[in-house]
Amino acid sequence: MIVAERKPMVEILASIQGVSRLLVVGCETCVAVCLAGGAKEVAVLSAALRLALRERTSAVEILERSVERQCEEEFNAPLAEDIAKVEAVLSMACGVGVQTLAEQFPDAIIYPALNTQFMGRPEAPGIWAERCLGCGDCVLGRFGGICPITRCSKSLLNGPCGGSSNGRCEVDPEHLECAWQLIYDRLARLGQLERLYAIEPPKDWRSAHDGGPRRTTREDLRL
Amino acid sequence: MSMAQRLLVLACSRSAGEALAALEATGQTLPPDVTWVNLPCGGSVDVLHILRALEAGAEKVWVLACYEGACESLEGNRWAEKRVQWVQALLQEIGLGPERVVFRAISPTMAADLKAWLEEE
Amino acid sequence: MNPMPGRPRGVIVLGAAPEALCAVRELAALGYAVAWLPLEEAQAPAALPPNVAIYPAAELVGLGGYAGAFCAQVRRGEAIECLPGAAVLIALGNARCYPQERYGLPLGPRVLTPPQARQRLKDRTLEALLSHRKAHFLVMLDWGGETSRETAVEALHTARALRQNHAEVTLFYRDLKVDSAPLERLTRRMREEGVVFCRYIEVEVRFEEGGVHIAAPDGLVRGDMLILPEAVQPHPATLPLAALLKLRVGKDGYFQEVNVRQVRPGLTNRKGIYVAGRCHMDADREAALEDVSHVVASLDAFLHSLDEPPSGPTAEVERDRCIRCLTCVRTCPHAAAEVVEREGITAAYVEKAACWGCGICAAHCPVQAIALKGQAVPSWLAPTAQGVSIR
Ligand code: SF4
Ligand code: SF4
Ligand code: SF4
Ligand code: SF4
Repeated sequence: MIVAERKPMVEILASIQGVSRLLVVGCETCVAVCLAGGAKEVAVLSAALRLALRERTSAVEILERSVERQCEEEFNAPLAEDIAKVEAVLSMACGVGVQTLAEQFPDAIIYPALNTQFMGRPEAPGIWAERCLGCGDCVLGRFGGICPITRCSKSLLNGPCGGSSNGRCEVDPEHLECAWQLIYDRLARLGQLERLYAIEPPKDWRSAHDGGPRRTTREDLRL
Repeated sequence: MSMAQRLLVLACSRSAGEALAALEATGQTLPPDVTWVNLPCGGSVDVLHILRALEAGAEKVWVLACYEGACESLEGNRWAEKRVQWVQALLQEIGLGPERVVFRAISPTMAADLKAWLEEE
Repeated sequence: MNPMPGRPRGVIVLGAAPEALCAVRELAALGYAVAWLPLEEAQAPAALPPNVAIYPAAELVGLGGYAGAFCAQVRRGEAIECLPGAAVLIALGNARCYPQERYGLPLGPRVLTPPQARQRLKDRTLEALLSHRKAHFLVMLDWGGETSRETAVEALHTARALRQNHAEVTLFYRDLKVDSAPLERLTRRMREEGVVFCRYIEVEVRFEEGGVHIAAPDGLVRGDMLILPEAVQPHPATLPLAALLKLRVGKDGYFQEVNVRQVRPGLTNRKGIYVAGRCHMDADREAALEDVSHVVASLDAFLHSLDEPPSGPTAEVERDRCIRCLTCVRTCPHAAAEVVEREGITAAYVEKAACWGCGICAAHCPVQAIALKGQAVPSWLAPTAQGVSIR
């Protein structure tokens, strides 16, 4: 899933300064599952904003909404009426959702309420961790199912580096496992250690964002 | 809520609720500007309960739940404390005093302590 | 609701400890049909009441259902069989070991555990030593840490047996709590019979001239043999069984009981599942069996409560709003919430009979799809979103 977290309140408050009619829109898919932007967080953020703005002379009106997937125009369409009523929209979706609203409602002022962070999974209750950078040319099959690009701090394809010690990564030994230790252990378990004799050639990053913004087509869905 | 309340108490009924009942059994009543809400367990205290109370004008919110190790739902009291801390951090961020929300551990036998806390407040 | 109206309810008993046999007998006497799964190699007792079915070699692979209607999934050959029961009682007992690290001494000709000493008394291999005028046994409790209640009592009985065989016995102790009538009686008799009790804070043990020397506060005590009690530890099946049944295990590795106000002895974090005896407490045999009686009474009271209409709040999921995030499943301490397919919808579902109404799930749900039914909060406090969610 896409993992995100709420921006600092100071930043959110600064962005909506002077706004007296506001719409807060959540997304009930990725960011709801990582407890950052679902209906509940919309209610919490709105309540916090009302408290923060209470001292203001003019009254602030905050509308709370949440949609199934903010990256889909059809789900956002019913927001049109509310968006017409407000001065600004605070989106609690990931950056994709925020941009969808901005594209779909060209006259509306849309602010992000979240910082979109990564593609990851819940490692333990309350902890989400990155697993994929979306490089566009997945190598997991050669590395025992552990992504060296994402989980090695240096994205080494021919690791490990000298900073691997006791299975931890020197960049943040407390929180980070050395991806190369994990790769070694998993390949050993699978009886595939000989894979490590192969020298991995430099990666062609054109399939990643380095080749510019990407798009995917399914011709059978196009007429 | 339209009434401006001085204090809202979100209480675990198994500990704080019983302490209040014991206090009331001695003929004491809550001050009129204190609203007491019994919840089944500290674990059902929602961050939104606390925010709603502040929005409604409560000056302070207390969350009262069992002592560590005394929660029938094992960690309802710890969730309650965590949620209080979460709201405190949020209040700090928006420039309101975090001391407006207080977590306290209590047991059913602490009617006297409860009375003292209420008088102090 | 009784799944079989007019017929006695069933109880599933897990474990092979003496407590299990005791529980089986007590439950059968109360009229329950008992399905007993010892889960390990154990000698089946000669006579069991007719309403007890024992499944000696059965492997438990899961527990379905909920309080009032559990189903123990048992592998028998290729097939998985379901044994129904309204409640589950676990009596695994514990495990023993000789804590060599704690004592810093290996067992040997001059160092025995109480069971070894008793065995030698029985097969008369201590005779040579005992005919010696001054055969002197030194029984050392609490050395390097408090001795468990169970093995301390066992050591006391051993000390007494040695004394009754005309040996001299000195019993060293530090924290011995004589806090029950039977223990009080036992220690008094032992003193009367001539066992010497010696309290210590620090002792030093040396092996010299073919004997054991203990430097204690009252001076040097010389003996022939040192008796060191064993230690108890959680039964090795505790963790796997806890994982299978979603039960909580304490930091000490034993089953955790949720009996804060001491009104429901043996109750675990799951409704209808109980633990009894030494798999959740440090107890000597008598106390462990006494615990079984308390737990059986509390289980019996629970089964009777099933006939009453349920009271108290329970969580209810608005299933078409659920986004299947699993937060409730992961945070419910009572294993009452799961994501399942029902009526064509895959979403969270809370089994009322398993729910304790704590509300932990409701306060966590990211889309506010869970409400505590039967719990009224003032409307201005209601944590629902003020707007309407568009789905
Ligand atoms: S906008 Fe789309 S991608 Fe972003 S969180 Fe919502 S569903 Fe996920
Ligand atoms: S190799 Fe690329 S696509 Fe595969 S997990 Fe790593 S970053 Fe993601
Ligand atoms: S927490 Fe809410 S959304 Fe998540 S699975 Fe449970 S009911 Fe569904
Ligand atoms: S209220 Fe929720 S968390 Fe508590 S027992 Fe019921 S399902 Fe579990």
